[in-house]
Amino acid sequence: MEKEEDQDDLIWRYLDDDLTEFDKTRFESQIEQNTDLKTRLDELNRLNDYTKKNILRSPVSDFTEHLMLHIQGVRIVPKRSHWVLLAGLLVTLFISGLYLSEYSSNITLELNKIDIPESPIKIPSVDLKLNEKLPLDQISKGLLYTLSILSLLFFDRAILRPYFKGRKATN
Amino acid sequence: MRSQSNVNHLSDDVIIDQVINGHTSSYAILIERYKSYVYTVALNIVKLEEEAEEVAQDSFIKVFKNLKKFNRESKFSTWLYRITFNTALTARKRITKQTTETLNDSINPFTNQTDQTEQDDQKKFIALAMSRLVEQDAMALTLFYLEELSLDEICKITDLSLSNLKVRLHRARKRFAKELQLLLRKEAVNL
Repeated sequence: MEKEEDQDDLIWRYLDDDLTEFDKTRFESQIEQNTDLKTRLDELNRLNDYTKKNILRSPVSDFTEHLMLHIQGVRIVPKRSHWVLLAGLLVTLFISGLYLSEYSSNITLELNKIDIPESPIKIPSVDLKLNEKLPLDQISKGLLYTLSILSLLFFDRAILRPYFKGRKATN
Repeated sequence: MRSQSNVNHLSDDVIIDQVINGHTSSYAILIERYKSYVYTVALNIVKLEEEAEEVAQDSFIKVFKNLKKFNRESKFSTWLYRITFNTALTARKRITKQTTETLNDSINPFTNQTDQTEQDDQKKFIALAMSRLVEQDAMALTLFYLEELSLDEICKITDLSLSNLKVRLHRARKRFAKELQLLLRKEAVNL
């Protein structure tokens, strides 16, 4: 029995090409002289091939379809707190924009009066001579509205659409 | 619409990049490519068809959710089989707790099939012989025969050392060959 196990070990190593060249040559000469060994080699070789040929199994035919439906429904959806945060951020941004563009500040700062001595070095002033008065108020409003629109677009594309698309797939 | 021949040549990395960039439908290509292998690995551990399908689905879902974290230091298949192995082991423990009878005796690889071809019979014998092995041995042997992975890759999947794996494979093949021969001889006698 022990001899048979040693023999099988040798055969498996031969089939796996795990023998040194010397051992392989010696084993092959043993096969030629020993018919029992050759029979056992053929038997285990056939078992090996039989297993390789038949081991693969397949799941049900609609496996991929069913799984993809599930996967498309499990898209990462932001938590409720994230939505609240994002909505709050957009609203704050919008209101801040309106506030800052309309509000004219009447805040006065009471600072200690300090006499600053005149500098002995006179730096020549450069007259910029702006021909047009830049409409800063309109520019700032435009920027803020653009920012708000871009934020809403991002919210729609990145969060709302995937979420409702996923819900539609699962329903 | 992509033809089958066009998508078959895409590497796993290319498909993964597509999925990460938002083309979720590309994940179906990976599922089609590996579903049989994942299912076979799962079946040889949990030993029940329905459970094996559930394990296979769970494995693909876990992989999808963590695709961005895949570091590509190993092959995608190595990572996928590792997740499948762990998921199957968890399922096997749960099944063992739920049932009193031994699963080895209750395996029925063809619960839903009535017309069995000769190929199905051959697969049945493989499955029955595999069911006689312990989970780690079944896993190692399945991976060894399935895709003829290198021993290093099987080590990464099963977390076994190389020496331990060689011993397991050696033991598993001997036991498997013995069980398979008995089953085939019995079938020949019955016929």
